[in-house]
Amino acid sequence: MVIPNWLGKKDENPTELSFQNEKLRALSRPVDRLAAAIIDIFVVLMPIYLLLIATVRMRLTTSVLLGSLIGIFVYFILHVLIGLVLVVVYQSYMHWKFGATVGKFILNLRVRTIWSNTNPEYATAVKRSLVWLVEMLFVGVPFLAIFTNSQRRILHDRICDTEVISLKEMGVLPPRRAERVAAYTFAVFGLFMTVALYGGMLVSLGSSGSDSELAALLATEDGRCQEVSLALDATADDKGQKDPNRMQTAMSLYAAGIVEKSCLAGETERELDVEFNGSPLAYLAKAFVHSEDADVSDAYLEQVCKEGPGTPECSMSELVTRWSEEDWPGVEAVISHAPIGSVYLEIWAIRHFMKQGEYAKALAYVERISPNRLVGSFLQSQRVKALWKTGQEKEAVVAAAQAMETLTSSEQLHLASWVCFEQLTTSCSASPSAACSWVKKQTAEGRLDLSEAKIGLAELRVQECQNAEAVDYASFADNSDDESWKVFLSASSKEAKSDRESASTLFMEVVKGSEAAEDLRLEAMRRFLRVSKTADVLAMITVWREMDRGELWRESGHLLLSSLAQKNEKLAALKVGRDLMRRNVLSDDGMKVLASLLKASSADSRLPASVGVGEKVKKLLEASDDESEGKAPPAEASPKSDKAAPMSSERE
Amino acid sequence: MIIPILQGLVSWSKAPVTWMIVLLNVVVLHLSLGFGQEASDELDALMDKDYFVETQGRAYAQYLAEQSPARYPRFLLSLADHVLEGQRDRVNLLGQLAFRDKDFLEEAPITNFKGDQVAFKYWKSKLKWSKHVQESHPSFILGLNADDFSLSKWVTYIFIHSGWIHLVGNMLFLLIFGAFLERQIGGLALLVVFVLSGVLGAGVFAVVTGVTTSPLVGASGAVSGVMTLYCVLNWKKPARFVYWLFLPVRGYMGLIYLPAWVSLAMWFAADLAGYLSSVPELGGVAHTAHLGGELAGVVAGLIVFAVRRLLKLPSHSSMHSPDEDKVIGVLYPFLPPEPVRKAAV
Repeated sequence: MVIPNWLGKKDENPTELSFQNEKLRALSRPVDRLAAAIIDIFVVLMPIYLLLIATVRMRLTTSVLLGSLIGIFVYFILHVLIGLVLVVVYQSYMHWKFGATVGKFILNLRVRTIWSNTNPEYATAVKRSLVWLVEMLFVGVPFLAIFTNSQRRILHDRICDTEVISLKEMGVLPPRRAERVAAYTFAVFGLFMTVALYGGMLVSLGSSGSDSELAALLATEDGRCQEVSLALDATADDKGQKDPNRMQTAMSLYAAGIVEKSCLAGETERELDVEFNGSPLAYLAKAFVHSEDADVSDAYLEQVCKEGPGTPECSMSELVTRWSEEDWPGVEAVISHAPIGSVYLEIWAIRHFMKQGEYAKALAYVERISPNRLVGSFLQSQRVKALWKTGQEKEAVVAAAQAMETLTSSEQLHLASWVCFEQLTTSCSASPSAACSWVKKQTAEGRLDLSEAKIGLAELRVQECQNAEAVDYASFADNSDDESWKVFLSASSKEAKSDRESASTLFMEVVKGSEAAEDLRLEAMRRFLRVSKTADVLAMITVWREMDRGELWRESGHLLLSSLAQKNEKLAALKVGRDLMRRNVLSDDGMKVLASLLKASSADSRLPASVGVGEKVKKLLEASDDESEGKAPPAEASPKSDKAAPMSSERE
Repeated sequence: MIIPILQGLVSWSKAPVTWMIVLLNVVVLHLSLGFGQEASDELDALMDKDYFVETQGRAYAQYLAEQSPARYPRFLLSLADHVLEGQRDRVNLLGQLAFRDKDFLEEAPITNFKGDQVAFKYWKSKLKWSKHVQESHPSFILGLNADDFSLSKWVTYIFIHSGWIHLVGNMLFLLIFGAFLERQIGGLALLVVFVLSGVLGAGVFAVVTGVTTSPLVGASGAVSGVMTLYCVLNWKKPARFVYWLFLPVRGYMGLIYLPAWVSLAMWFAADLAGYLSSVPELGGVAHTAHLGGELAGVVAGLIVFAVRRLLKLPSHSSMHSPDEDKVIGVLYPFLPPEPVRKAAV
């Protein structure tokens, strides 16, 4: 025996055995043995195996369809076991009885014991087959021994004291050096593959375990949204009583942007498809879930009012319809007439007023809902923003400081960045504020985040205010893959180097880029107006008019108006003001700018003194419309259609 | 890998009926793909729409819960229970399976389902539309389906395939065995065997597996009959196969002669294993139609033997012609040349 006999008993009196027919002991060719194995596996065993496991396979399929882990495990094990038993029975019986499998017969190979030159004993044949299976577990690497062993005996032959001989006239010589080298090379590669295979299996098992844990964390057993359950737990009163209406909670959380649409989908499906509770609220939630399919969403909105006319849900469905049509006065009318008491509706009211720049009204709604622990973080953030925008900057800073104590770190970052950016927008005087210190701390710790425009802009402004000349715009750009950011930073760099013309061109490029974040485009507009000549600013009017009529359009319109007024471009400023006014989004400050522009105008004298500023501006604008009729440049004469954006995008 | 020699490719004149059947199948598939493309695209788009399929799944779950357990397989009822309990990940699967249930699809439009009424209204309207579109599809017009059991469908289904791969697979084997068989029993007899095997295949499929709203199409049952008849008539004669043992070494590819009964046993085992391991509700290969065709082939073989014995007719026994060997060289250039082929001739 070549290697220690650690699997079985040693043959007795091996020295007495004789080698009667040396010709029959020709070494088998490796390719013959491979071909024999292929015949055995694919021609003989495979059809038998497929028949044997047919019913097990069917049950395994149904277990997979049902998601039954126990079934999958049991039938998979049965699959493997049947295969192993088949291989062992086939190989051992054939070797013991005939000294060859079907494949070996065809290739004229025989298995013989090395001592007696006979068919192996049954026990030896079984042992040989078992070792063969173990070798297969190592992706066949041990089979490479056929290229290294001088007798071309593989591990199973050496352990069982057998060899495979060829009955062909020409056998094969012992392995040459080149064969050995190649075999060792392949063995190393094979062992690496084995480790990779089993390592990969272990890793995937581990990750599937953690995936299921994650899934369990995110979804409760009944398919409902875990985040809603957590919110309800957090807001349960001292007696442990929870708000029983999960749908109300889910809708409020969704309106506040705290949960995703998938969470709402889980809740509505449970409500409608499992508990069959076709409430107006459930249908309303479905309308949000299917907001990307306008027809389906509209059908749900219709159903809401059929199920509960006059309910807050019906009002909300009307609000959504008007929102999608961009009928902002209509939205406001629905809000003012809606029944009181639905938190989600009031959150949508806040979002509407913030979007329309009616911050005082938004603040009133924030105060109306507060304190609400469910959507506390949303309300705190909106309160800070509304206070700031209504000119109550000190109150906003105090509110922000209070909010920072309760918000999560992500929410803190957002709020601090927002406040800091607003503080530093026009001047660097507020640089040492608490919000900016917080942002600075984040920046110092190397946590630059350009994924959200406002956060990135706050960080940038903090650095610019610290030392404008030392800002490394290039390293900032390295933190982002966003092309718009790169262009913006390049423009800012040019501005820092007083290359105003290049900066102006690049900033305009960012403003035009419809795929860039709105906050970034607005800041680009601000910087563009700072560096550009009058002619460029006038050209920007065309770009501005082609923008979608949203928050960005309103805010950048006001910036444009102020800039034109400063440059004493009265006619252009009036046109911008007229566009803003037609959309009912001209702010009081904008109104004042227009009024001051028209103060010295001769048209002013045509109006009676009793007419208010707003009314006066309106009438003067109308007069200026008549005067400027036909004088507008071609691009302005054909502004882009103001067709409403699809409802789905608005509802996101 | 073992591939039978393409004996039928040798000559058009020696196997005109086989070639006509092949051409007919090719023409029908070409026309059906042209006419049915729009309907196929529309139906595919609908099937891809989760909202439609999942609503159907929820409706089917409610429907199954009301049915007698004996009517449906256990796994389908378990699936419905899972869906009704709120397992979202099984809804789509159940919705897909519902397409095959004729009774459900007939009763669904007049059934009031509980739950999301908007979704059910949408689904019912789309279902009606999809049925209309499906009925205009050539596979539905020619294929055997639960909505139309007329006798003509039992024949027409043989001549329409689901795609080129399906067609090539079937026609290849028809050429290999049909052409040879045609020389043995004549063109008319081959045509009769081909059609009757298809009919019996459909019969066995209808009885054992059950016809659904998804049409049964393809000549595989008929081709199985032809192949089986070939094996029965030549049961102890070796058939010539090309083999290749995946080794690019001389001597590991070549011609091999296997007795015809071995081939028959292997096909039968494969179809039996396929039938036993498949879940009928999932569709796929119609193994029972193959088995029906094989049964038809065996019966036809016995009839041929009986007729020969009664009329004392000689049997045709020419296995290989020199013509075939000419084309083998073209078709299988990698074969070791002379020794094997000489033996064959």
